Amino acid sequence: MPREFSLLDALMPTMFLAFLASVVVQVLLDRILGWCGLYRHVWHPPLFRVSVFACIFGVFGLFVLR
Amino acid sequence: MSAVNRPALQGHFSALWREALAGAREEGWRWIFVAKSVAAALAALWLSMRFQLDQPRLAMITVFIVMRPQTGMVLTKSLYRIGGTLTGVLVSLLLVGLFAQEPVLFLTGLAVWVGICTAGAAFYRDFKSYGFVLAGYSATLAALQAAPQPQAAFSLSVTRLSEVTLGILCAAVMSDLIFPRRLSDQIIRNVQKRYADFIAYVRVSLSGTATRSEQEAMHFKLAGDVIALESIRNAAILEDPEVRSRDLKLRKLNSEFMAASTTFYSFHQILNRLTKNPTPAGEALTGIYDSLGETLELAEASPRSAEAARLTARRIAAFRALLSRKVAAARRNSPELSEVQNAVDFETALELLHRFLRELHAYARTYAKLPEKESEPQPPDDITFATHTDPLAALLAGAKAFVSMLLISAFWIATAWPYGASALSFVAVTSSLFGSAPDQYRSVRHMTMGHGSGYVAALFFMCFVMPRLDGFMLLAAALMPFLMVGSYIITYPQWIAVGTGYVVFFCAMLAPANPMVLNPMGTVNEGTAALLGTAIAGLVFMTLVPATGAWHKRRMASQIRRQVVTACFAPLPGLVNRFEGSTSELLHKLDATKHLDPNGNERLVTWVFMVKEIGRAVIHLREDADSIELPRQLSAQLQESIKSTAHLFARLSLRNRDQALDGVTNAIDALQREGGLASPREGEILRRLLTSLHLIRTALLDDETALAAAFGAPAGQATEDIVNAA
Repeated sequence: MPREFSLLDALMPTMFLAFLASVVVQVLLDRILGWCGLYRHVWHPPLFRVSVFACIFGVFGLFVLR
Repeated sequence: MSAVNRPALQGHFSALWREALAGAREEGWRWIFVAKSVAAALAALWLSMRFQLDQPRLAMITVFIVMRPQTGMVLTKSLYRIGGTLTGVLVSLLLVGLFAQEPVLFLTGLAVWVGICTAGAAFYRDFKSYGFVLAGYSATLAALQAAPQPQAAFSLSVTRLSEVTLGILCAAVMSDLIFPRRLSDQIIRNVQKRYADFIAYVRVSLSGTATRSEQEAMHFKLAGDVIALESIRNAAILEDPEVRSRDLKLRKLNSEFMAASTTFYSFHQILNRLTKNPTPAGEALTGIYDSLGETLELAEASPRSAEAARLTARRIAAFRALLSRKVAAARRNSPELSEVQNAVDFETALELLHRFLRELHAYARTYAKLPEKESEPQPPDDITFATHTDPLAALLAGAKAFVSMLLISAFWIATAWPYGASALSFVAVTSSLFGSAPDQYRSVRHMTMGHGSGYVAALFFMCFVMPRLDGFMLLAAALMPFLMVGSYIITYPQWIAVGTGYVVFFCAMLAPANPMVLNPMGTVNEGTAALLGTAIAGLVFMTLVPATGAWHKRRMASQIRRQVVTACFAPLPGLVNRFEGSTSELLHKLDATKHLDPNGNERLVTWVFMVKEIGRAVIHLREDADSIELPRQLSAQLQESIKSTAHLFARLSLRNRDQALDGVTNAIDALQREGGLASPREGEILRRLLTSLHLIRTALLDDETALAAAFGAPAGQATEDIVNAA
């Protein structure tokens, strides 16, 4: 995949799109997990959330940069 | 020797340890917050240096601006900060694209934009207001930076956005991961405290020991709590899904609370009127509500848990059952109660008492249900909290910001001042903040204090500390104490403006960059220009149509009275809520500016209470009148009475007061004629209509309300009437 793409003739890093996409996925996942009540069994919910986000972003990043 | 001293020493140490623990419980969260925000700021500084962004200070400033002790506040504020900055940057691109070569048009355009945003900031509350503030000054900062080099405008904007986002990410991650302080805990505390306060207030007022000023103070406090809960609730929604599921209950709790407190106020007013001169109805009532005090005393003893609230709810229900028996007994015992006038008085007070108990019962029940998770699907609801702000006052704030921007711009253009941009930036920042502050004087004072001290600290740092530093670690270590002072001040809510002003000014003046530039002369010039900007904005806000001036007071009074007009004509669904919400907000606003003009404020407060009483009565009147088919003539009379009341509050005059009284009295007469020939259910509603009308009438006749203070006591026939009627 190209490292940069052109948005109205301005070059933007593709990782930015990956970041936005992972934010969307994270928000959806967070809703679903919250609805299931998973967070009541987690020791530190915010830490859990950030870690999940890191995983998602990492996966997207690997796709983009590979 | 050590063997002898050891126990004593141990005792000493354990005492110290206990002391430290107690201190930590009180002060601990402040220091955690200080550590968190300084760590986040330094992380943002390091990262933006590492990424070679132009202005690392922007990331740092962002951290301090969004950092609040409660995690939910940080998340919400961050969201609005991103939105506001994005809007601002887009507007700056537009302005640079259009007028980069035309200083007059360019600066006028900026002034107009800042004016619009300040008006928006003054009109909305909490975070929405903050979004407007940001959109205003981000545009100014970005446009002033980009104007000299329009070619680079786009890349400058992108860098600016990255810096702000970096700061936000640092602040959000840091505050959410390390010892998060949940807003949901604060909500629970707020709700519990308010429950206990309210029950105590009811009990004290029933026992008759509370003075008028104590009662007013209590009402201020309750209104403040309502507003506080509302804004915390808004911020907590982002924080965690549990709060989201409880959101409906919290809103319900707030609205039920407001309803119950207004009804209680009306009940208490009518009780005062009935017991001021001994009347049969007053005597009968005193016996009846005595036991209510006892019921509530038990309720107050242990309201801490939901279980206790459930008990209270049950006890209130029991009291309601008891009440009807007591009323029947009172009717038997005093035959005077069957005379028309006394009967109406008695009925009205009783109806209010019944309504109050109903609402208190509902409030206690919702309170008891709060910890449970929402299980049933949520019904559609119309419980929204209406905010009430005067659009004209908001526009005025916008105009003030516009004028101060124009002043500095004119000075800049006329003198070709090299530091005009700094001054203008700070005019934009401070005037949008002043515009949104509830008490503009205090805001101006605090902001000037904060900026001044930040300036001194930055100069000190630049001249004496900075030359000895080498490398990032040393810079971070040296910055730490200066930043800690600022964030420690931020933990005290009343000093937030000072703390934020100090840290922001300090970081802005210091401008740590990579490579670091040491230029004390430039800093002195820029700092002086920026302080001048703050001072000019402050001067304009304090002198141009000042908030204590006659215009504002007249405007506020008419806004308060307009509430009744709204109650008379606005569409009914959800009206009680909207009415209660906006009167609470008006009361809260009066509380914020109380110290500026105690006497004038006192008058306005009495108006708010009067408006609360009459407005609620009118709303109930309209609701009951809509619920059944009334004879044409009666319905016309009711409409007439509502219209004349609205007319009185829209335009205050002696003639309108008499007309309103006539309208209400005619409607009462018509109702009493109609009353005999109705079915039981209709009779019940007619009775309620009568009590609402009677309540309005007594409030209009009362010689202790704001209305009476405006005109003197009602004339001739009315003065003897009042003994009877109230």
